[in-house]
Amino acid sequence: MRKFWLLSAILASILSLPGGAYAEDYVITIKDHHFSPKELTLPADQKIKITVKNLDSTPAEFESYDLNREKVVSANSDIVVFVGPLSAGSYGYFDDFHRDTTKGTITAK
Amino acid sequence: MPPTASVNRLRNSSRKNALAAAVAAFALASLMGAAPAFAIDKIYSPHVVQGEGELEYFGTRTFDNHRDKNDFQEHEISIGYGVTNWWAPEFYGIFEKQPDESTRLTGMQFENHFQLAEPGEYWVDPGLLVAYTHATHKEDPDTLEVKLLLEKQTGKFLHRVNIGGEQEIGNHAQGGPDRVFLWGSRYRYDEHFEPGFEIQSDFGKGSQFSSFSQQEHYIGPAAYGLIFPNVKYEAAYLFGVSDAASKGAARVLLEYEKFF
Repeated sequence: MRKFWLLSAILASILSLPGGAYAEDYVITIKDHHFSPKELTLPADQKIKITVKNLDSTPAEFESYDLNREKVVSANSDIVVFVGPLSAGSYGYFDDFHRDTTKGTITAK
Repeated sequence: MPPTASVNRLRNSSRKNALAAAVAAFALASLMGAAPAFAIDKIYSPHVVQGEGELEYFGTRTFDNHRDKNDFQEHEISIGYGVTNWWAPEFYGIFEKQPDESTRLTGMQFENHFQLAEPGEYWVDPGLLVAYTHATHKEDPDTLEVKLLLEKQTGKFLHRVNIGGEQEIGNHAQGGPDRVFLWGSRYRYDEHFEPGFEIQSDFGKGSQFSSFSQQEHYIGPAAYGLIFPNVKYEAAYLFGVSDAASKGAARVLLEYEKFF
């Protein structure tokens, strides 16, 4: 039983670790089923906080296999997405409800 | 203090409370009584997607030269829905086949899947699973299962750990908690094919850990991905590495997802 308490304490310690300092916040806007900016450049090897603003009157879903993120953005509302630290490279994202029109790319440098 | 700072402090406080509650629930599960036979399980992500409905089949089967450890099967059919961006309930029908017996419906399960933080917000993504299973046969006990769900992504590698226990409850309950540890790692090669491996361990019931040979430990390869745009699969074949485990156990999962 002591091992279990020890394990619990270790897990609690891990969970309380700060996620690290974030680079400046970035904003992606959805309007008329298009992302703006369509190409976003971010610093590599840093945690990034991105606010996704949906200005449309219909819901969207910010999704990215590359980033392992999937989150619904209700109509006329915002969500926050945490990504990184990212290795240098390109990472695609899209609106899963409007895949044909709403796509974007994050480039980490 | 600006209003946004106040709100952020409140949010951080709520999340820390939620994390503490998760650890407490995990510790509580480890203290509670005993458990049923171990069946290899799916390894849960802590993430919840609001508005996503899912219809799922999960099946597992053991392989062994000894009749009492061969051809144990479990089949689960479930339907779930992401009610909020942090809570997704799921209802299961559970069918089991003991060695040398026929398949029968053994339980109905109500599972609650909680996301405790935004993905990527902390060093590891935490979640909590709480499931109550009502046995459909009077002689079988009901069970309560609690698991802490953890996920960590490092580059293209994704790691998941589930730790917790299952406690028999009711008139037919026997023994202390059945404590389990599940670890899965995968390489996110492509959304259709992600190779990986899993470790699944059942440490047994009671207040004391039994010896390694009396515990059930499995390890083996696994693959995950999409078959069709809305259909996910998981498949694994795990080799038993302790005396109590079967020689092998296979598991498969098919999940159809749709937004509502």
